[in-house]
Amino acid sequence: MVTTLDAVLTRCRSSPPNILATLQQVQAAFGFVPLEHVPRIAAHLGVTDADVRGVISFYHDLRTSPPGRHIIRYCLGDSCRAKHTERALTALTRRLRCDFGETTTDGRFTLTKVYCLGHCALSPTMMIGEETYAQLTPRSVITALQNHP
Amino acid sequence: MNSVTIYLDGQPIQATTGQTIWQAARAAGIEIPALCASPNLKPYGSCRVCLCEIEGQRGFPASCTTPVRDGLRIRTDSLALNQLRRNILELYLSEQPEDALSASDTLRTLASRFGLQRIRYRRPKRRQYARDESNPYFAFDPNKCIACARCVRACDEIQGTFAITMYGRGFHSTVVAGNDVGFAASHCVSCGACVKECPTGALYEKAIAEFGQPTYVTRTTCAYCGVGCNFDVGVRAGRIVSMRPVDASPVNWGHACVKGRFGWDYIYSEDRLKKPLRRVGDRWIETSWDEALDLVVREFRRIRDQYGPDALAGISSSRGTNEENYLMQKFMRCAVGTNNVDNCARVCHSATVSGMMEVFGTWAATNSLNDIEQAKLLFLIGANPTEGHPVTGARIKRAIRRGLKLIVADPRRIELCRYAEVHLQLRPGTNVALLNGLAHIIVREGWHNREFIARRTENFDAWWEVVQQYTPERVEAITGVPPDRLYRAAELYATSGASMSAHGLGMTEHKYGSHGVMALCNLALLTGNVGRPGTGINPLRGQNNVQGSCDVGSMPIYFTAYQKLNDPAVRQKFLDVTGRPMPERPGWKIPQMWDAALAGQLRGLWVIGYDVAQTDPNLNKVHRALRQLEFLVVTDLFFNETCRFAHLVLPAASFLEKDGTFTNGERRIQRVRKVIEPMHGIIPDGEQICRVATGLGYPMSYRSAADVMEEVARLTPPLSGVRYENLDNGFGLQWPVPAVNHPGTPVMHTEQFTRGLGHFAPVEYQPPGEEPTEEFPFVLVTGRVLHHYNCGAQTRHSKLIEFVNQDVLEIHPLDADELGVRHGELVRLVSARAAIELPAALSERVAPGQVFTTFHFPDNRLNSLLSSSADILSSCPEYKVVAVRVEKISAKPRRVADVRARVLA
Amino acid sequence: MIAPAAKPQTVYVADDSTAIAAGANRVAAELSRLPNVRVVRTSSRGAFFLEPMVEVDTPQGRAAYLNVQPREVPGLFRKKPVPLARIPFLAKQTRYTFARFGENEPLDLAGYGFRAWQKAREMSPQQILAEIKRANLRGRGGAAFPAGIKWQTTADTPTEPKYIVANADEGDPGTYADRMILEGEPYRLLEGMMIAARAVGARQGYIYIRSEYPAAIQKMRAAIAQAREFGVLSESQFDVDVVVGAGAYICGEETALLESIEGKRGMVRYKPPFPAVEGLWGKPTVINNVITLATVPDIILRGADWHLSLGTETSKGTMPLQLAGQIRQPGLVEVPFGLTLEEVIYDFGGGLPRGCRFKAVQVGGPLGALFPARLLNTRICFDALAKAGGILGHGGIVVYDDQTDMVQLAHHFMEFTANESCGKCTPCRIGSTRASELLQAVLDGDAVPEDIALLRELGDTMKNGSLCGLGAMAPAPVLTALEYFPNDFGRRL
Ligand SMILES: Nc1nc2c(c(=O)[nH]1)N[C@H]1C(S)=C(S)[C@@H](COP(=O)(O)OP(=O)(O)OC[C@H]3O[C@@H](n4cnc5c(=O)[nH]c(N)nc54)[C@H](O)[C@@H]3O)O[C@H]1N2
Ligand SMILES: Nc1nc2c(c(=O)[nH]1)N[C@H]1C(S)=C(S)[C@@H](COP(=O)(O)OP(=O)(O)OC[C@H]3O[C@@H](n4cnc5c(=O)[nH]c(N)nc54)[C@H](O)[C@@H]3O)O[C@H]1N2
Ligand SMILES: Cc1cc2nc3c(=O)[nH]c(=O)nc-3n(C[C@H](O)[C@H](O)[C@H](O)COP(=O)(O)O)c2cc1C
Ligand code: SF4
Ligand code: SF4
Ligand code: SF4
Ligand code: SF4
Ligand code: SF4
Ligand code: FES
Ligand code: FES
Ligand SMILES: [Mo]
Repeated sequence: MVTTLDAVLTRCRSSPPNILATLQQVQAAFGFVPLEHVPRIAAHLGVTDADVRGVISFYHDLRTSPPGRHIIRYCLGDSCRAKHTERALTALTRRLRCDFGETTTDGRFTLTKVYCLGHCALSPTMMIGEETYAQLTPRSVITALQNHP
Repeated sequence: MNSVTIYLDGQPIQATTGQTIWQAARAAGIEIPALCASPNLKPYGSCRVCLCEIEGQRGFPASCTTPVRDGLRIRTDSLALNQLRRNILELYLSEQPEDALSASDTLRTLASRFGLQRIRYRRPKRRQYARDESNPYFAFDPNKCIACARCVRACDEIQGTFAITMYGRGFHSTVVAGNDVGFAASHCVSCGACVKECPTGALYEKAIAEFGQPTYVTRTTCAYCGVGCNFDVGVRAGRIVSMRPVDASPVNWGHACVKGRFGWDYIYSEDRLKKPLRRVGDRWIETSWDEALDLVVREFRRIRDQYGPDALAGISSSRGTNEENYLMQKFMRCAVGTNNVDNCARVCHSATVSGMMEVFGTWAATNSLNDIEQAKLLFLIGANPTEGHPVTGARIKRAIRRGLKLIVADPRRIELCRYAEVHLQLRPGTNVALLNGLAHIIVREGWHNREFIARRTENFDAWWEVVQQYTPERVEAITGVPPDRLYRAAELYATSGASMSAHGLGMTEHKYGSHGVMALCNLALLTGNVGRPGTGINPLRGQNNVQGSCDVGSMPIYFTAYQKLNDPAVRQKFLDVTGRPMPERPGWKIPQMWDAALAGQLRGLWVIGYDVAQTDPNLNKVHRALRQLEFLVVTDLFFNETCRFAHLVLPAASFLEKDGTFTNGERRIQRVRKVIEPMHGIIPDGEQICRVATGLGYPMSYRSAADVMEEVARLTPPLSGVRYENLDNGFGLQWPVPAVNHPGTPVMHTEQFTRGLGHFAPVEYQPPGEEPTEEFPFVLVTGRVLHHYNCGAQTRHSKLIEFVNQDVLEIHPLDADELGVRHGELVRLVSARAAIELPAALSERVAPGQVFTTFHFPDNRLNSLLSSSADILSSCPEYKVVAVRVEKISAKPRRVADVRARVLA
Repeated sequence: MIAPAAKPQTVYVADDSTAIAAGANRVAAELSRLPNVRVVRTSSRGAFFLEPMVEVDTPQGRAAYLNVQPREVPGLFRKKPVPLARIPFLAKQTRYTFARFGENEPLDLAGYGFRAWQKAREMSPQQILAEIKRANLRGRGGAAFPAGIKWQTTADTPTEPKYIVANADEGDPGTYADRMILEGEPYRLLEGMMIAARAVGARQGYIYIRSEYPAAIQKMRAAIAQAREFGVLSESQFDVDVVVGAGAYICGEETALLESIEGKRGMVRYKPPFPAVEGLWGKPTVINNVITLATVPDIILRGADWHLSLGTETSKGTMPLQLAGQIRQPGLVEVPFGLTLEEVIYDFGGGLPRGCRFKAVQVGGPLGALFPARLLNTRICFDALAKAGGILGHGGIVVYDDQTDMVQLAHHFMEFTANESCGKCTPCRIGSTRASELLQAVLDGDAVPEDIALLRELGDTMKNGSLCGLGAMAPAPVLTALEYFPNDFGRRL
């Protein structure tokens, strides 16, 4: 793990240093940003722990704990709202037995909310991993899960 | 800068382009309500309390971010604006803790000013965070925080530490330190800038929380280091509760460091000396002041009568005021009749004095700290200001963010190396070679200032004879610095347009320290970087008043202002003023005093405020010398190491308990004001001296410190215009002050040097007193850490001890690895003279082959390792180079204080 | 008409991610299994209610099979495709920016041609600036500020270097035009940036794309790589990098976006100084929305007069509107400014799906006003919408049916703001949470009339006191909901 962090960090040299880009790389490598790595990340970039911690706390995308195998990005945007997405959402949360920001107990899914995925023409929508599901219904939302064991 | 006119609520105001409306209003004495704006910080625009209306513009722009334009007509007060403000304050209060006592006073006051009667939100979500009380001096209550980021901006913009951050966002915005570890465990250096900026009291001083807000303040000058920061000392019911840096101070501009800001709490330490102590056998017994002072008189008289006046000596305190120092040397010269008086400058910047004397003919910084703003380049050599002169360190960082370029010459990777264009990581003790090498390149490349050399200097050719030998290759062989770095540094220094140098003990505390200083001054002559703003040679003087104690004559071979002992006119002048003929034989410098004591020539000594038994080099010898004395009296705040050898110990009054002046490292004479009466009935140092003098038959008495200064002025040409009335101008006075009402001299040598022409001083590199051998393969460098001060008597008796509670040996991980030494493990450090034990701290701040430690804790007797080797001209001890060996002792690692570990990282 | 495997046949299937969500990839995969069929992946026309579309060439132009399901593919060519000219949704549009959508292969560099750039290369920077200014190109990202003036400011600022930033954060829920450009014709954006760079003297550009658009990020990166490889960028002495956002709506606001590109917390900066003078790393920076930049090539090619000939008095050119929500024919509609909401919703969008009754339409994303039926005659133009108390924003049009509870909706919008507030200024940082609490109280049946008054006053405080558009505009949907749908509130008090 430690050497991998170094490997990630060596890819993240820039002047001036870019904290967000580095954290995105770290998250891409580890699935999240382990908080205990903050000092090493900061030292590498020549910034302070506080600088890094502040950035982590700002962006919804950055996670500080390991996510489930699949990340569900469920759209709560206006168009999906207009299409009464709460109906599919209720079915989904009931099935997953977890709420936004949480991971299912089996570690399979992490449910996150987004405001719009840009597929509003086919609202309601969600993404599981990189796969987009549109025109969700309480039924289709459940079948979608089956594609992601 | 253009001047424009704006109209604030109809009233015309002159403003400058670049100012915001809020700044312009403030400059004109009009206060537009604001919470997030601060005169010390860049605009931010968070609180929206400062909103205004601008004619011809829609909406409600923030006055704190809107730049002025000629003819702007602004309303700052209207029904709509006040309703907006009221509603914003309502929002603020709605998130503060429900319990009214816990909400911020500032907010409540503002709210009632804008007529807020009650909070209409019925069950608002409130701030609910845990308090951070980890810092010994201040605490953070996030529930009072309004997320205005003033603290974060202060840490970034003023202090340059970037220790804290805004955290989270939206309603959940708050402040955290470091990686959300609390202030104490973060990189925070406790400068207090954030606390000062916090508008709500979310960040607050613990002492104020405990003792209450001050009811009045007294302005004074910090008594730690030579920066000389100004403070307003807040008092409540006779107790000092806070020291806040003064915004308008030309020295610190509202900033401070942890020692000055908070580390004054030692004055309330239980361990402070309260009553005179007389040694009887092995015991110490309290005596009355009368008895104690009488004892000094009797012993001094006895020794003088028995062995002559030269068997007595005095060591005056460069921690004390100019007036006390003047009195001490007057006492020694007039009441005792000897020139045996010296002060701590001897072991500090005496080499600066001898070096600068040779080249310029003066003994002090040529320029002012404010010149950093005009400099294009700073050449920092042998100084570590972010720890030793933190306010200057922060200022340098600020200037760097604005574009100042920096060269660091230091064997260690000090904090400022991070911001340096070039780090010249030379071997300790090789400054002369390095500086000659830079000069060599500059001449070879034709970067020197021929016009300046021709017009203002002499001895160039003889100098070049020597310097032309210093080719980059040879210099690399001596210093270890690669030629490309030398070239880069030489070019930067020579061609920046305004290069300023600042040096410290890495220059002076060497066997050839004076030579190093000369070589540095030569560089300034060579490139014309002296005599103008933003240039010059600027020693970062160490103790609060080392500059002043020399200026007022606490020196064995000079009178005040370095006037010669044998100059008849000077002697006559002193006779006229003091009524006594001055002793003629040059006195002993401190190291000579130890030899004299061991030889039986020195019998009695009065040491004021200087822990020679801990901080002088070659301690075993010093201790033997002290033991030889028939009578040793020590005046100090604490029972320091030297007291152990004393026959009589006299308590001293701290700087908060007496009047006087200090002279900082830029020759600025500033007032020190009595804030509280001396505690425990202590008789202040100056009065002790006067009473003993009087007892010895030479009456000394003054109505006030101001009277003493008037006497100094009469005797001291560069100080002749100094009067207390004029020191109260808020700026002090930078000498030379040749006449009353003279404004002082921020930049010296503008037209000519004090000695006339600048004298190129040819100096050859010579190796330090000790070089690593097979037996002692490491070079030990000694120095300081931010949180402690010199012998540590004061800082160890303050809460600063919670930050750092031991000296540690910094050793490079490669070396440690080779020795099998782990972080925190106790190791033995052996020199040709002694062996001591210290915990190791692995750190890449030191180069391989070098080790570093500090001298703030007496128990490890660090200075017993050192030899008596000293600068051949000034006797400044060679503290910076000792050949040692590091031995592993098989012992369990112990915890190295957290802050220390972080500083080392 | 055309039997399978009769003669080699080229078919076109969109590679757009919404089309893919509708099944385009699966259809394409089935198609490529057929002998003699060559599947070309193109951009999407934006008629998403018809996706997956399989298009074929006919002598009369393109025709398409609509809403194709994978299982229909084997027998597909036995059916008759619909000529596109006969699909009113498409036929009635006035397409320039999206003219090639549905036909071009997104990453086909040679096919794109960069003709506008070739023309711009021959123009002096000042000529380009003059043309853009004369065309009165107003920003399509929301603020409608004239791009030419912005560019001129950057050009006139002596500080170097200068930057061009494309705002591809497309944060407004209900919008997707930027995404379609990024995925469908990335070179168009690139070309717009190259022209802007030449006009102001910039050497480096950044495209800030939200992380919710993985396909767009990938396409844009690939397009840049190609443009580099074929020397297009180096010839223009300009280079571009993609910066990926991290899930922060506020980073669509231009100054927060700059902070984010710098890798910092996306906190809004006060203005002035405007980014055009002090932007990225303090240097002069042109920041424009993707559509704004994608309109530039046409202005250069066709001239300012062409642009001035379209649209209304104050809003020139065309606007890609994005229909979404409860609407029968959701999709992208590029039309000149000036149509009424009604025309767009009913003539293009086909009105609401069967069984749904119109309740409200929101134009311009979550900060836009909610309009009731009686305001459907409002014209779609920056100023007409502003006059009606709304915004055009980025051209998102979301229709709500009568099952929508306006209190719930208002609460949703405030929660959105509370969630997305950067936290810098008080009215938005605390106000959005308070407003959301007040609306929750209404939902809970817990509110008293004074709470509604307080909500209105708070709305004013946010509007007048906030530092940026988020806080300032967030009250609009709530206040319009209160104004136009008072019953939804009233029955709960
Ligand atoms: N916190 C704190 N502040 C203090 C003090 C304190 O004890 N604590 N003491 C005060 C006093 S009395 C003084 S004099 C000042 C001293 O302040 P500084 O002058 O900064 O003194 P040091 O930190 O001892 O040493 C400065 C630097 O010299 C470097 N050095 C060592 N050898 C060489 C060399 O051969 N060449 C070069 N170029 N550099 C070398 C060291 O690595 C070190 O970083 O600080 C004052 N301020
Ligand atoms: N190894 C090593 N040794 C060094 C150095 C080094 O770099 N390395 N640096 C050397 C240098 S530069 C210096 S300046 C010395 C400093 O060494 P010292 O002068 O010994 O140390 P300080 O702590 O400054 O102060 C000495 C005493 O003054 C007392 N004092 C403070 N204020 C007053 C006052 O107002 N009145 C009286 N009467 N007493 C007061 C304090 O309680 C303290 O006991 O150390 C030197 N020793
Ligand atoms: C809260 C907020 C969010 C914004 N989001 C976007 C966005 O996602 N995309 C965009 O192009 N502009 C957005 N803007 C507008 C930008 O600040 C800016 O005006 C625009 O990028 C300028 O480009 P244009 O002039 O080409 O429209 C937003 C503004 C605000 C206040
Ligand atoms: S005390 Fe100084 S260093 Fe510490 S957080 Fe505050 S401003 Fe920063
Ligand atoms: S702690 Fe004080 S200065 Fe810092 S954000 Fe909070 S209120 Fe502002
Ligand atoms: S920098 Fe020096 S003078 Fe200033 S507060 Fe700190 S110790 Fe005192
Ligand atoms: S506001 Fe109305 S009249 Fe004016 S340009 Fe727009 S549509 Fe035309
Ligand atoms: S209005 Fe909201 S998003 Fe905009 S600056 Fe203020 S707190 Fe940040
Ligand atoms: S609102 Fe859900 S995809 Fe756009
Ligand atoms: S003082 Fe102007 S916004 Fe806070
Ligand atoms: Mo010193």
